[in-house]
Amino acid sequence: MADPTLPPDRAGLAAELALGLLEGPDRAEALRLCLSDPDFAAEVEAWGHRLSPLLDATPQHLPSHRVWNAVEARIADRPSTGQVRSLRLWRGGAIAAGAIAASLALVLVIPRPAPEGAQTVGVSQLADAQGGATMAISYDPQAGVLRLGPNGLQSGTKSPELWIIPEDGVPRSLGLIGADGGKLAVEARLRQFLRDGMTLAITLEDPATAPHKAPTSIPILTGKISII
Amino acid sequence: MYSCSVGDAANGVAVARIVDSDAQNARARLVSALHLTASGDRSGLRHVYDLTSAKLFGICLRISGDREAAEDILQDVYVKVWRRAASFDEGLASPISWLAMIARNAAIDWRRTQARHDAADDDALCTVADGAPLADALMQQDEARRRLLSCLDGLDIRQSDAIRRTFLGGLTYQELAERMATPLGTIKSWIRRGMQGLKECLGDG
Repeated sequence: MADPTLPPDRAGLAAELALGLLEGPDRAEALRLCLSDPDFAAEVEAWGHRLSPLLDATPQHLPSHRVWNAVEARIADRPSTGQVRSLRLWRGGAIAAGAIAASLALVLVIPRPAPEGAQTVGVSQLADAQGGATMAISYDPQAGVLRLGPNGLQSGTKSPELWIIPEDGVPRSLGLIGADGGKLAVEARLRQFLRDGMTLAITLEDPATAPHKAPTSIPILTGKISII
Repeated sequence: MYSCSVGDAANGVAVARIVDSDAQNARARLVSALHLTASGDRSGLRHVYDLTSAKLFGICLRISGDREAAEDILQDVYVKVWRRAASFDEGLASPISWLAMIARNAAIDWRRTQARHDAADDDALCTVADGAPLADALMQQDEARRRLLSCLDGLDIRQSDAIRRTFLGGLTYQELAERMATPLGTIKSWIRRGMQGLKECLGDG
């Protein structure tokens, strides 16, 4: 299952994170490891599978109707029709797995600011639906900087461009990203969009004219931001 | 077990087969509702909700210890399911395990953002029995559960107690040390050794 070569300390930390024992800086550090160390992430997930039968015996309780009503309201997604043509195309692409290179699940973790101004670091992970390519991103909301892992997405004369798509369905360019990853400063006006439920996407574009007002191609990677 | 020949149909076997078939049907229904959800169909999510909300609410309630908070967490859980349904992989986890872990993790996250908890809440929660049999066909992971419980029973009682209380109660190390009136260092060693032992027993070590 998980890589047996994980050093004992890391294996112990993975077990502690899976159990939910960690808090504060220890938890932030373990969440960071989830992104930078695939073996570590696999071990945390493996613990979830091992322990989940314990949840079987939790007594059931009926929630009130307000829960579903609230869920329904929150998933209602009605961007104005004039703006969503390209987004529809994108969504169509994201759903038909064969139409794009990979469909990514993006998880962006932004811990609440700790008291006394302790450092706040967000981390995120991109993994494709086939469990193949993964791409790690961390976001520091204080500095407004995204840190991107290597992605190898360079393709001939085209370069990967990262987009954020908020509720209005209009993609906004966050800028070009290097095939080797690196840092990407997010423009102040775009930082408000880096939050739960927003879509991120990567298209291949002409680097000479970037950043672009709109994407010219179907994204090769897409994912929703989920703040855990 | 599903392929038992008709000749085997002694009562016990027949009952087991009916239950298994219910479990399989329930699982298949949930998987197809998740697929529908992944395609962006809200009726799929509604179906997932109908099949699992009582179960997931029980988990949120158990860990948060607060009905109102548990309903807020449950809301977040189904919004997460809506967004992540496409990443569900039937080959890696049963659908209910996948959902249960999302609910548990969301409840743990909620607790980690809260200040200190009322100790009475935790004590009350820890008295909830963990061994109650479940009629719900969806929850049948009998084999996995039996194996896990047997491995937990094989551990030092203090180790298994610490693991159960943590996983089901959402405690931090500090809280666990307080509940068990044991120094933090000792607790950490119980957890790490216990988890290592558990992994070896489950055959993943």
